[in-house]
Amino acid sequence: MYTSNDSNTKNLTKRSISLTPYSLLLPLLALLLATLFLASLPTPTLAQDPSYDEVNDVASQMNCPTCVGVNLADCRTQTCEQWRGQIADLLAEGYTEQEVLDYFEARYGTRVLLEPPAHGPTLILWVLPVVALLAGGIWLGLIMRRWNQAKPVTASVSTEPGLSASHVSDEYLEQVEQDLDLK
Amino acid sequence: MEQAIPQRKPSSNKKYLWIIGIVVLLGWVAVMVVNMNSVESTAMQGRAAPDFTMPLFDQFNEDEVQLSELRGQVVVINFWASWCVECYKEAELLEQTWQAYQDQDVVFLGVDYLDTDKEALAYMAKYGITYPSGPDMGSRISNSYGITGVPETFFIDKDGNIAHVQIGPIEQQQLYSLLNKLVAQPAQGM
Repeated sequence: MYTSNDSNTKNLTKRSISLTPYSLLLPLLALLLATLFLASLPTPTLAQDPSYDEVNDVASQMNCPTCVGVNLADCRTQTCEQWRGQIADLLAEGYTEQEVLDYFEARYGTRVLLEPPAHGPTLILWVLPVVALLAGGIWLGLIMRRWNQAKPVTASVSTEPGLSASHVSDEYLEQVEQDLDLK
Repeated sequence: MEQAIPQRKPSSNKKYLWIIGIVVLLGWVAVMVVNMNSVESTAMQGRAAPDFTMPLFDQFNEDEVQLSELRGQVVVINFWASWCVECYKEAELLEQTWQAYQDQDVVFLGVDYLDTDKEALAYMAKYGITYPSGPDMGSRISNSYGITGVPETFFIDKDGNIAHVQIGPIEQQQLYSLLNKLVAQPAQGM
């Protein structure tokens, strides 16, 4: 019968105690290194077909190439179908929405974009309305301020030469009162 | 008795109206400057052909072609698109003519307008187009030539001037007549 005092048991226990911290350390270290290695690997992206809504979200920001004033998302011509197909292809390749728009702008020019880009010659189309609005607002503000700051100017009224202002005013006032039957 | 009559100083609203008017005028001028190069294609006849560099589709040996390097040859620039129904009518004629006039220093260039590459290549395969063709990147070439649609064909003489602008599909007789005349003309600038 084994007891804890048995030498073999003691030896076994000693071995267990002595192995535990180091025996765990090595596997833990290996696990950590493996995790770090796997984390450093590039994550493979799976190609997925974009949804109808995703394609239309991009197409709605573009013009039909062959129509006038028609949004690419609403256009039903063969050309528009082809362009939407190209949008879908680019999205499936991992292009972001902005990258798709940049691609079409570089490929076909700014005319294909619903909104003119805020750079290059079309920048003025964005800046000018803001400038005009600010200029108009400043002008309005100045006008209104001027109205509020209007200073009274003292003026004297005289109907007959040689008569003082007070004398004429009193006579005029008396006449008014008579006419109004106040006296 | 003195009366107080509120009075305003002589209005300086005119000054602000001038400022706003100048801002609006500057804006109008800016818009005109942006559009000042928009000359229609028919008005290009007789003018020097705007130079351009066009990338070519993959099946061609060269990566790109530059118009100015073709000076001394007759150049036919055809704007087309796979979705252009009228273009179908002249596609085979243009290819046949290119084959016939190649050795007479005549170069055909196909400029693909507002088209997707997949459909453009299918169009070229369908009609057997072998003359140098490529996409009009950024629509810069079509803008500089002021095209109003497709097909449009520009005939450039040996001196680099636009001798004729053809709106719509071209007929064989007219095409051959034009080319014969341009080929016969000696280059004046050389």
